[in-house]
Amino acid sequence: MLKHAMLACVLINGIIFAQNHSKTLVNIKARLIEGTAISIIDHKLQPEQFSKIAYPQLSNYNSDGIFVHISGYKNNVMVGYRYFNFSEFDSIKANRFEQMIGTHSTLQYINDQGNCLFIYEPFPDSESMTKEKSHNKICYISLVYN
Amino acid sequence: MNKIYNIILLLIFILTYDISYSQKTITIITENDLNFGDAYMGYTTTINHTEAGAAKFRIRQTVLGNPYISATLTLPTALVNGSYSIPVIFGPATTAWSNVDLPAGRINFDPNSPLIIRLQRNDYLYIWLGGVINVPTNIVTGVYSSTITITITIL
Repeated sequence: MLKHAMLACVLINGIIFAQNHSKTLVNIKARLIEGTAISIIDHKLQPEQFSKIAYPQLSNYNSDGIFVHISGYKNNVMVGYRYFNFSEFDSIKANRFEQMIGTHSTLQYINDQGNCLFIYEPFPDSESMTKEKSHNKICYISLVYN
Repeated sequence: MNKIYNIILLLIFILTYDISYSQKTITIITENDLNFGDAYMGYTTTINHTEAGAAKFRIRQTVLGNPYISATLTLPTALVNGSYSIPVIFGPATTAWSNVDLPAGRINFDPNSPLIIRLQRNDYLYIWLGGVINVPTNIVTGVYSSTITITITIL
């Protein structure tokens, strides 16, 4: 009986000995959500007002323009924007910004205690600033990720 | 005669048990899944190997010596949600390995080909895997997923 048990162990070990590899699995996941990667949706503005103001005056950082203020890195990024007396902050992910690199935008860069802090303005003639999209109350802002 | 046979069998048993014990201690631990987070229709999302969303494997071998090992990744071409899918691309820019668990000093490699390196006994091999998804515009929202298999072989 002992002899047979040992023989079985030898055979099993022989099989294990031949297994000189190991494998495992990893999961991949993405959650697809509604909307655009970066958008500022202002429900309080009339589309006509928005498109009227946005075109001629966005080239300057002044109270008449849209002021976009982005700080943080990768996650938990705050985007604040001001439009006349109206202002609001949204939390979005900064890693989406790199997908929005556009040659038609201007930017200033401020280093804020190790965080990336950007001020952006959509360029007046940006293709994404179309009247159609403005009428949908969506302001697309071209951003540069540094 | 029967006694000698039993002794020889016992010796073989002890030897093979010891060898097999050492051979089967190639361990792979998945420390992170690959998570692209929130994705948006019409946009590309990239996860670099240095990001928290990258997959991470920790491999260790306890075989005597300094053998060559190969790490083979079986990669999907798409993340799937029912009949809808998002293409996923893996390349050297988003994949790296190192013997230490640090961002510095990582070496990029092409995950579409086996990584063949020497690995000292009791040393660690870390592999980080990111990727790129190009999200189409004509698909439904929801969670898209797939799996990657990593196989480590002592050569």
